Amino acid sequence: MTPLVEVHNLRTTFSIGARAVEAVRGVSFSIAPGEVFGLIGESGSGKTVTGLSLLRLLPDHAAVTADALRFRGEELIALSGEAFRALQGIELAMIFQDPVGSFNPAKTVAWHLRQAIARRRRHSPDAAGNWQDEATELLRDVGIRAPDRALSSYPHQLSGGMLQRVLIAMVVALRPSFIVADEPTTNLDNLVERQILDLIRAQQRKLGASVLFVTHDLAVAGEICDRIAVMYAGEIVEIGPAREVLEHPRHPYAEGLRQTSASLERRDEYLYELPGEPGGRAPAQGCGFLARCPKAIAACRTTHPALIDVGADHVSRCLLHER
Amino acid sequence: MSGDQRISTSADAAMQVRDLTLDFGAARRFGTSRHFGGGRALRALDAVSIDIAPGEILGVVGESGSGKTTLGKTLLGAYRPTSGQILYGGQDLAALPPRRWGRLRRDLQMVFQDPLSSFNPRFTINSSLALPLRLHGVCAKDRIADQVASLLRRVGLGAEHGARYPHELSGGQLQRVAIARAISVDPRIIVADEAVSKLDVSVRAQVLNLLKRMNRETGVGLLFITHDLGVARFLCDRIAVMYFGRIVEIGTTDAVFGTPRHPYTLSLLRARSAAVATEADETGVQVVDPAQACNYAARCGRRIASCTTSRPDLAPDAAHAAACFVPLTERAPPLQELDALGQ
Repeated sequence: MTPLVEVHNLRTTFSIGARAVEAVRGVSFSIAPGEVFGLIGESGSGKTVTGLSLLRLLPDHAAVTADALRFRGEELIALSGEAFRALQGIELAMIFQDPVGSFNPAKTVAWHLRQAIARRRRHSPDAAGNWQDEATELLRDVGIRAPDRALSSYPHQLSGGMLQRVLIAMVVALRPSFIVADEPTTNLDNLVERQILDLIRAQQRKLGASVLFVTHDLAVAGEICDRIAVMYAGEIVEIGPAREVLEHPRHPYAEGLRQTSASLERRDEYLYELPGEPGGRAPAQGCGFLARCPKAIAACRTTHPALIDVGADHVSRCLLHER
Repeated sequence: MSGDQRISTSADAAMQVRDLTLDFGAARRFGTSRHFGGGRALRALDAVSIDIAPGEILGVVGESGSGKTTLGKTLLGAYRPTSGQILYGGQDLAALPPRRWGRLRRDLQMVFQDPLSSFNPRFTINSSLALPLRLHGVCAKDRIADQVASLLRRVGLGAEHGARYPHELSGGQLQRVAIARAISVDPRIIVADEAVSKLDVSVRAQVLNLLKRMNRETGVGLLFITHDLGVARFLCDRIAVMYFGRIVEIGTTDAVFGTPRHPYTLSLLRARSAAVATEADETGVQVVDPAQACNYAARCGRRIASCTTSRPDLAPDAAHAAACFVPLTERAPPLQELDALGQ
């Protein structure tokens, strides 16, 4: 099957005055139609910037380059701003982490849904019928029991979980084929998080859309993703089937995270710790994880590891795999 | 316990909380928005009774809005309770204005969720750590610098970190400093409010280990507030589960996780591992009158008639107790029952 989204050697650099910071350093992956692809990593690993780069949502001081950035086989890099905006918010949609910040606080839920419905209808003048009926139906579909009351509410009057449902309804109204979801459940309680994950899964199946699901939470990624890419210091260090990456990770970073959660489950007296802190700048040469790696060898200082096959549809970026 | 003389706490509790109730005056604070109860007071804490034993780690778990943060802050005097008692060090802190706490203030410390906003951005780490030592006269003036250096070492940081400003440290490093500052005055109890939830996964383990190590080494008690059940299970000796301002279940960690008795606890435990409700169930405010009904009744799959006409209480001194008329008894409840729970 041809992938819906193909990314080859994506690089995103932020320039502030004379300083340049490369936040994404040569990321490549592809997402099949209807697939939920997880991008997991810690703060500063470049996972969010990767998602925002694909949707051209970064500020002007960010420079995005790639060898290829294809959507349905069409090259997006060459696309003019105007042509890209015709895809944005129609074919390509985004769910942000902070539902409150995604709404205009002075407008009702009805106003927001109307915008989304009108936007789709401008591009594909399919359905007739009034927008109120469609909005009510959309809200009911995302599990809101009293849609009429929700429609007349302002964002601050709804809980975070409710707002995230409304936001999902707005995305569904667009009928996109690719959705970037950036930590959509991070600010929610466990019970609500669970409900929202189920909801995203159900709506994604219904739309047949692909999702790039960005999260720092391994358990969440395990529940919703088909495949997972692990990012560290701006690079993908491991990609594979979700279950494989979480249960039998190969890269020392992913393996360290697995050991920590295993010691949590076993209720060890003390948890397994990866040394050091994330977020340091990647070295000019050698492995980006070197400073924290419990398994580093001399060659890791000088040789930048490539992604190596470690199983079926499973690659990992570590020199130790070659030995 | 109505005498106004010195009050004795029982020998095996560092702090005893009895019927602690806190109402936020909705009408004055929030206007008359119906979403805040149309002028009615919002009951943030509802007759909370707990004992904190010396040196124990007591976990408080619950969803946002359950009152767990408010409980921690009230115990430290940030809010004046509407009624009830906080018995500590021979005093009822609930009746004592915080500025008259004096030495007791030193015994009760806090670690916040967001380390960056809990430090003065214009102070170096060294100055921030020196301040409580000076204020509480923990050591002689000429010893303060040594003491600060030793505190940094105890939390795994070096002298180079002390000379920096808060924004120059990572979240994990700064949370270590916050822990160093809390233990610097030899407190009896530290309230840690979501102290690891903003940290990256690989750093969370480091800070959890540090909290446990400090507890084991110094015998300081911890009131550990969290929404993360996995973390609570690792760190805590006992667990209290809160729901809308009430403690609905309390017991040892093994008991609460192994044989939960309150239906709400069970639904929390199942949230990560099984399908629960897919329907929105958040109105934001309680609909039932808490004085006459179980406040979980509206969401409960085990509801019986008396749940909506009288309120189940919690025996504060029992080893494992649940505020429920029909508590779960089986170790593994049947699946149909689990499905009904989230509705």
